[in-house]
Amino acid sequence: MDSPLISVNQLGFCYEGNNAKTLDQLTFSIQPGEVFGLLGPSGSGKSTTQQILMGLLNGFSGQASIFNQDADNLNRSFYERIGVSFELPTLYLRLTALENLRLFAALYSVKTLNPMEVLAMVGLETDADKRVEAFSKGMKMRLNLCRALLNDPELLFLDEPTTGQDPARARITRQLIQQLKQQGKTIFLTTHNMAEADEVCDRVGFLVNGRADVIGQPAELKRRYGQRTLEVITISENHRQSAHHFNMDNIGEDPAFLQLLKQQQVLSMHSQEASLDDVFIRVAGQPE
Amino acid sequence: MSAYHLLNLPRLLMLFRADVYNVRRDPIMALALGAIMLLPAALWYWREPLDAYALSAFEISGFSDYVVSFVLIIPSILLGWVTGMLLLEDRDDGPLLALEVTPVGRNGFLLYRAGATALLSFIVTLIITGMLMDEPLSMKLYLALLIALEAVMFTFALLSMAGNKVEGLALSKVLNIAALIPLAALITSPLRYLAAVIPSYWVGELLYIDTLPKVLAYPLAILVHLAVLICLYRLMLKRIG
Repeated sequence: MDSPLISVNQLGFCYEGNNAKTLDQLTFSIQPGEVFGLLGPSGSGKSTTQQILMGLLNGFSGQASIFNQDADNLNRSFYERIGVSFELPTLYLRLTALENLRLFAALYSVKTLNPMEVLAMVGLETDADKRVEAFSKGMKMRLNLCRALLNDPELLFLDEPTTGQDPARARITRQLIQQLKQQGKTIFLTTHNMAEADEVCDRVGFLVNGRADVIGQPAELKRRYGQRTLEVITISENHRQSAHHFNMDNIGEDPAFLQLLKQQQVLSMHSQEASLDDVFIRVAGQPE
Repeated sequence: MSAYHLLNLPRLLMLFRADVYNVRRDPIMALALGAIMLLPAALWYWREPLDAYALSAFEISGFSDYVVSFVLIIPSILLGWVTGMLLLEDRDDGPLLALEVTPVGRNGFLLYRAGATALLSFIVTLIITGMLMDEPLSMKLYLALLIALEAVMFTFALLSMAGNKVEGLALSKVLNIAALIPLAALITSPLRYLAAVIPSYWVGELLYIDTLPKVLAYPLAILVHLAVLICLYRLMLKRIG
């Protein structure tokens, strides 16, 4: 296994004037080429973690390193290698989409991508010459993502990348994230959207009370927090539906299950693994 | 600080071009910048009739000489105001945060904006001194330098004290008083030196009176300007987090 691209060990952080620690002994690592999702309730410290890793916040305890550099001592060339899409649009509103991208592209020393090609990746090529002030929030978020991709970064920080986008556009954005992963990019994603995390992340960590004690692959977590049962819905001749539950261990030898399949009309079958939403609620707890 | 990343002409030109577009597309900022030479041009054109009128109406001779400091400072205040408003927008709308995660960085960008403002102010002031003053070139250059620093101070003051653009507009009305401070040098009492902590006072000291030897007045003026500039820079960094 490669050495981790991001390594966080016993990370602690407390904002000035706050009694409670925002981050407390947070530990995780991200491998090159991995899509890692940091999930958690609002105010749990997801953005704080990102800001520390981007070198925007100092004064933390523990260790945080990125590209083998300490996060509290990053040099400016570090920013040639990363791309950041913030949770809110951070754009020049009176400039057009293309002018925004050209401006930001000029700030890098590395070779940057063609702004029109980047706009095409998120379906904004026909809006290239429109001023950003005329964009919807979803379009602004897509442009945010374009800006993060301009320098063809090795590592992307994406904070709620599909905010404000309709389901079809959000799907295109998720597909883009998967394409970026296939290109070998490492992606650090923070999101409230569990379905999104489930779809695009190789691993996720749940940040609760400043710690991420639950980290794993979405499929594995869903199994761990779900039930090993299969729910079978049948329908009788008088159109009555019934639900039957079977333990999935040795289900092929379960006489009741086999008899049900033979004698009744099956409407649907579902394994009772948890969704990431269920895992989130189990780990983070219900809101008070 | 990422000054190294700024040493790139195409990059600087791109930043400047974006600023030109940004200002041109905002009617108030465009008007402010478009009007910076209005007052100096008016004084240059109507200087003699103005002096004649002031003499006949108020018995003040050489009235325009007293107005020169005001006319010298106002264009730079406008330049500083435009830069300050642009930066307030950058802070409120988010581009400043986005710039922070680029190789140029927030400090590099602030350095560019401050440098561009100072350079423009220096050039504009030098042109105005050429139009309105008969002083030696060294004096004109020195005044242009001081006023260029004052333009940057105006920018930093807006960012240090204003929470948003509306507050920036209100604050700029108060800060405009700086343009009148040089007239304090005309007060004959030594009490006028109470105003010496305000940088723009020194423009009046150099223009209107000659009580302090130049060898003392020149460095003192620069010292006061730099001290206030550094204080405002620190305040601004604290305010923008």
